[in-house]
Amino acid sequence: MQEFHSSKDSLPCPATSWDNSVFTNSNVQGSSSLTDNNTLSLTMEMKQTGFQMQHYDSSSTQSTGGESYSEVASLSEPTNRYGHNIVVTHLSGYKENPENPIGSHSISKVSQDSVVLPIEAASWPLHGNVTPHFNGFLSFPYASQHTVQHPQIRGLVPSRMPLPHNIPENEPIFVNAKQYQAILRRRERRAKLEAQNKLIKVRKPYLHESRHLHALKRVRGSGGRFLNTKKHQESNSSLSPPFLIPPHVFKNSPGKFRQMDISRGGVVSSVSTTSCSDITGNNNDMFQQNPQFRFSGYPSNHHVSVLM
Amino acid sequence: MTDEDRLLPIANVGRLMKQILPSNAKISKEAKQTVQECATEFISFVTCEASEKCHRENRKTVNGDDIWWALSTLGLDNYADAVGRHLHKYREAERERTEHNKGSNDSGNEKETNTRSDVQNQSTKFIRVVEKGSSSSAR
Repeated sequence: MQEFHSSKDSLPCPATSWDNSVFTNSNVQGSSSLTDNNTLSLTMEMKQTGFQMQHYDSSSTQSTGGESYSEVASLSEPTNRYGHNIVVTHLSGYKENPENPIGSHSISKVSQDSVVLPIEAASWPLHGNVTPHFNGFLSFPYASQHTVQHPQIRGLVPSRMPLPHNIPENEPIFVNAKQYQAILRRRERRAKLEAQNKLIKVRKPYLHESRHLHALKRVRGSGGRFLNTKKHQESNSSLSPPFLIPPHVFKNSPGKFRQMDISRGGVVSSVSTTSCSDITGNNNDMFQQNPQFRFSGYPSNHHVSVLM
Repeated sequence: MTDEDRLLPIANVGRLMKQILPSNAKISKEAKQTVQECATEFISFVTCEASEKCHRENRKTVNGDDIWWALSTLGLDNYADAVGRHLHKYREAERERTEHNKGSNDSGNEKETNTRSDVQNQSTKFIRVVEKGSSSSAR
């Protein structure tokens, strides 16, 4: 799997994405085989150390480093890390709606409820809630890396050889000897495709024009979300008695979001995506994001039909 | 082949990522996009090796054995073992289905179906995305 990282490294991608991909990829492949997971862990540690030296101020790198093992960079700014996670919670809650069209309203309500309650709590209990999760999460990868590191180094050293084209990196990249020729061949083919202008350079905000236009025409309520259809209104009426939320709680929500904006300067762009305070900003963001959610909902249905 | 077919569908990638994580885990959109690109590049890497072998042997169709050989050659032994077992099971199931529907298929159609399905299943083994498997292999 090392060749995978090196070939990925040659692509013009930002370093923070690389860190995220390394970490997430390790999780994804953990179920397939332990050996690959161990190799990924070793490479992950090597890569993260290098990237953290280069991008000390990047919040994404800091959060990734904090999750893998304790670092001075991540410890020096704990507030930023917690704020980042809160924002991610908001985004994920919103994204879940397209995958469950029937129960979308109930999920949306639950998501809003979960978002409102932590905001009402004081700042210290919020940190207290988050910290044990990180502590539990930190110990496991660190232990696994520590136990695996030495055998991996011994096993990998004899079969590695340096790759050319090390201009982007200060240090040479070592890969599996079996994959050396394949990596070079793949690079040539990628260069050929790039010359023919077939590689993806800019990612489109939406895939289908007609669906995008349809989403633009749909009625939106306060906060920029789509208004419920008649079917969802019926389910809403059945669900409203259990959720006896006082109206003043919703009124306080915009103020809480504004406080979040003020307290976390680095996360303002992410917060504005989910907050209700700025309607114009939300509309712009929703216009770009909602069609993608609509599109993501469609393959889910297709998947269900395939299973049946 | 349009630009959209160059990448695996991001919704399926996100769903697969969620399967391996705890139920309360959240995945950012950027993480999904990055894994989407990594998975696509990995599939291209393996199929490029398999396609090179077919080119050397003057063959035009990349089949499951070529994918298995490519994984073995690249040192991805764990993947090669899994693909080998899956390919064996798939061919057994295909043989049983062929015998069951023996009267409704002619030999040419049967052979073509096997070849195409082999390639799809190999890509499905990596990402379990049936729709895009053929296009990745045909690259």
